Amino acid sequence: MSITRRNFLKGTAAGLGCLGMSSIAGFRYVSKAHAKELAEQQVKYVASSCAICTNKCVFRGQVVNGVIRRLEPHPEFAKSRGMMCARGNAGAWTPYDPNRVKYPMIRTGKRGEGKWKKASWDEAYAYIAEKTNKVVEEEGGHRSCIGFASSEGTYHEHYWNQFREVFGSPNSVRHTTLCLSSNIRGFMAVVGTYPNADVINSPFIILAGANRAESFYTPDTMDIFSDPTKKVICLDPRFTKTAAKATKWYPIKPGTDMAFALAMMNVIIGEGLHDKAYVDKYAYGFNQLAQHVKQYTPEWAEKETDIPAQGIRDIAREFARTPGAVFYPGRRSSFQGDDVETRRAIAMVNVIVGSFDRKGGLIPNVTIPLAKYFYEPAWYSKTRPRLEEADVTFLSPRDGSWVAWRDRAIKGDPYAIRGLYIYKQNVVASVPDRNKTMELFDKLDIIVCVDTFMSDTAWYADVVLPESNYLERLDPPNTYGLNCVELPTVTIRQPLIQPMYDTRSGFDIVVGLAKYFEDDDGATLDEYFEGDVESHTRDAVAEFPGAFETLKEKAFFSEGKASPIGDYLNGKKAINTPTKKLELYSDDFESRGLDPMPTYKRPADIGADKFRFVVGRHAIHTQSMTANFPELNWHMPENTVWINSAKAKTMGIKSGDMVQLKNRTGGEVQIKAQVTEGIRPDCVYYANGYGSLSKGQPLVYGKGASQSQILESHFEPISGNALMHETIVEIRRV
Amino acid sequence: MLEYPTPEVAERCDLELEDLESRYVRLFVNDLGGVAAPPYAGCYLVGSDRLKFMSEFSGFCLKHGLALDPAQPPDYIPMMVEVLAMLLSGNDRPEIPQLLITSYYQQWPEAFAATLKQSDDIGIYVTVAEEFCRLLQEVAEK
Repeated sequence: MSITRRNFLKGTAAGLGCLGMSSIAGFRYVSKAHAKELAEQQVKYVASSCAICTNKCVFRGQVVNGVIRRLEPHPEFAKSRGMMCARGNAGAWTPYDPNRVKYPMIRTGKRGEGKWKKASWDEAYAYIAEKTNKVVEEEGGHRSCIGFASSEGTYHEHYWNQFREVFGSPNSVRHTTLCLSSNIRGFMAVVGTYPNADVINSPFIILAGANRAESFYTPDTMDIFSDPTKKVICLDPRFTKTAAKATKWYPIKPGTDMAFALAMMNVIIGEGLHDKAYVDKYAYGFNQLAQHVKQYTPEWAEKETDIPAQGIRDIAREFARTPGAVFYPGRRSSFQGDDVETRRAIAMVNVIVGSFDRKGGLIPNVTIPLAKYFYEPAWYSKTRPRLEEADVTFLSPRDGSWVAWRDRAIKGDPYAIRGLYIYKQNVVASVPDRNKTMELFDKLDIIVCVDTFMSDTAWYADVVLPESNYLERLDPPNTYGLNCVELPTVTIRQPLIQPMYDTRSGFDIVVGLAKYFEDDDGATLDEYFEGDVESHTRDAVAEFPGAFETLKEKAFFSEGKASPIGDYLNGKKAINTPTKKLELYSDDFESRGLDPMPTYKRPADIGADKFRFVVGRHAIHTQSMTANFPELNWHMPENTVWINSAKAKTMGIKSGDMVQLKNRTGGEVQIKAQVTEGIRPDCVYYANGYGSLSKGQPLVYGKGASQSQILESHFEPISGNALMHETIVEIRRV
Repeated sequence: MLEYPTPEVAERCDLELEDLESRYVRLFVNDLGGVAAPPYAGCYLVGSDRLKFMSEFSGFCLKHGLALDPAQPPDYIPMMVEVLAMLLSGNDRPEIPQLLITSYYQQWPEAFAATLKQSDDIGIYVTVAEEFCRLLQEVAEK
């Protein structure tokens, strides 16, 4: 083959396109610039909000000649106060990642083999519908045979849930039971809400496992650690960056946080340091609790927690005597068997010193009320309850219980699951016990995955549908309250650039898919979807004059009023518990056969020369989402397993040695060792996000190890939360 | 040049269409260990900021009256090839293609061809990329 200048010009025109996109004959990608494009030549700024972690910080995206150059913090956005973290900045690159999913893809080889063909949206939808309708028919018309999974943090997830509901399946599993559902349930049981800690105003903060310095890079995190007048107590089996920044770090034995909290109450109540007037007025069950905690002395707790009794006593006294002290609710503690009860105990410590609904303490979440997105439900003649309904006391219909559901789905108990539709949740990498997840995948007739990158989960799907990047799409509004912000705020995301490749927003994806399915009356499911994201946004804030325009201009809207503190105490709002009091004793729990007060159960002995595997955030990444971002991966190309130096010495293991970890249920990984004094001798840890199965994530494929491969399959039966700290491993040098 | 395979191309390559599609996807869309030969010029620029390269190239095009398809990154190689062809075909200002080549067609064409040489086992894409390099040299010499 040889190209001359003459036939290059001819060939380019003839061979590269002729698809009619251009105003210049024969050219597919290039056209004459008009006023609109010429305007793009200038630098422009578009306000939007971040999607790299849960904080949703608002930024101004700088777009030069139609290309995103950087994301700058929005100077007026209260939460970020002129700050944009490194993870958020790294997001600017994501639309241009050569490995993002660009087109609908249909698998042509075996699952996981990596053979795909590019498809049109209609081809992909038709393929999905044909497979799905076939299995539904084989299951006697029961649409419950299709499961739906999704992750929080993406505003389009609401539409995904709507699709599931109008499709007619009760089987929804979400991120929540891999994260904080036990925490929410524990605090709800005591104070009637899942509150925030007023860390900006609190002078004394106890963090039990919550690793703020490595999870939330927001200015209020800096406030916690930069103010020398604040005292921060950190309980963590690992010397995290939070531990490093804390006033005092206690390497607590995993699973014993409740013992610490109960002993604190023993001291506070025993020495009469509790807020008597507050407790008398607002609490229910104080006398029972006072009797109950008498058994939990600091000396007893020392044996359980490995924290000296005097240390517990000192912390308890100072905590009770410091107005505005708070025991941080956190997102994570130990994630062991009695996690809901542990969270209840922590909530109760706050209540007995009068910390709830007071400055510096636990502040109820107050949000700007948005108009609800309404849609008609679909009714089906054939319905079944969700799969794991009998397994969990407080089962959220939308969240489900991931581990319980997955384990039943594998067995087909009480009925078969034949397909799984997944919206932006990397279930292969995030649900404990990857071998079991793959076992489930092997049983499924159809796996559909919506994502922006070829995650492990997408890699094993039959059809991958590409969602537009968060910098390319309009997302409906999100309202959030005091979660690190003094002003309740509404945020949106809006496009900095047009969607690239053949990608669509989550809303457009589900509406397109809905056209291929019918309800019992023969109506296509897209009839249940009305309007578009912009009209939904406008409707949501219609009660607030000018809010929509402000959102378009700044990407956030606030009424400028600080959240009121004290409304629950002054009676303006009712405490949302059965007794309308702060519950130190729960009749509701008792009536369900649960402990009415947190009762400590010692974690099972792990055995000699075995280790408890602990999970936790790390500073570079947001779980598994960002490990493949080059700008972040550069700082940490692979993960390593933390092993205590004294223990490693006895085992002959040095940093950099390859070791094998093996759990009790057949999960095993190989990973390099990192010998450190920063972890207890009975624990090991490695970071999430590595050891990808997907070869579509080149920076983490085969690098390090995946957490989901080593985590055993356990869940907590009150909230359905996965238990991340119940995995026991053996280690040997390879 | 890098368009998605058609039955005709598959027949010419003596391959089943599905096989050629799979190979194409591995080379340019999603591959084992990452896209083997990303069809984006900025991916081959060692020590350069790809975002800067794209915005400057896009700005150059706009300055000369050309708009790029926003459905592709500005450094999408087939699109850059079209830009070159477009500017070469306009003879009124011969210095513009030279300036274009000097500023935006350095380093990456050879790197792209070399990458394809490693990974394109069919050979059709590497041939085109090598021919493109040769053409650039021809234009530069004139």
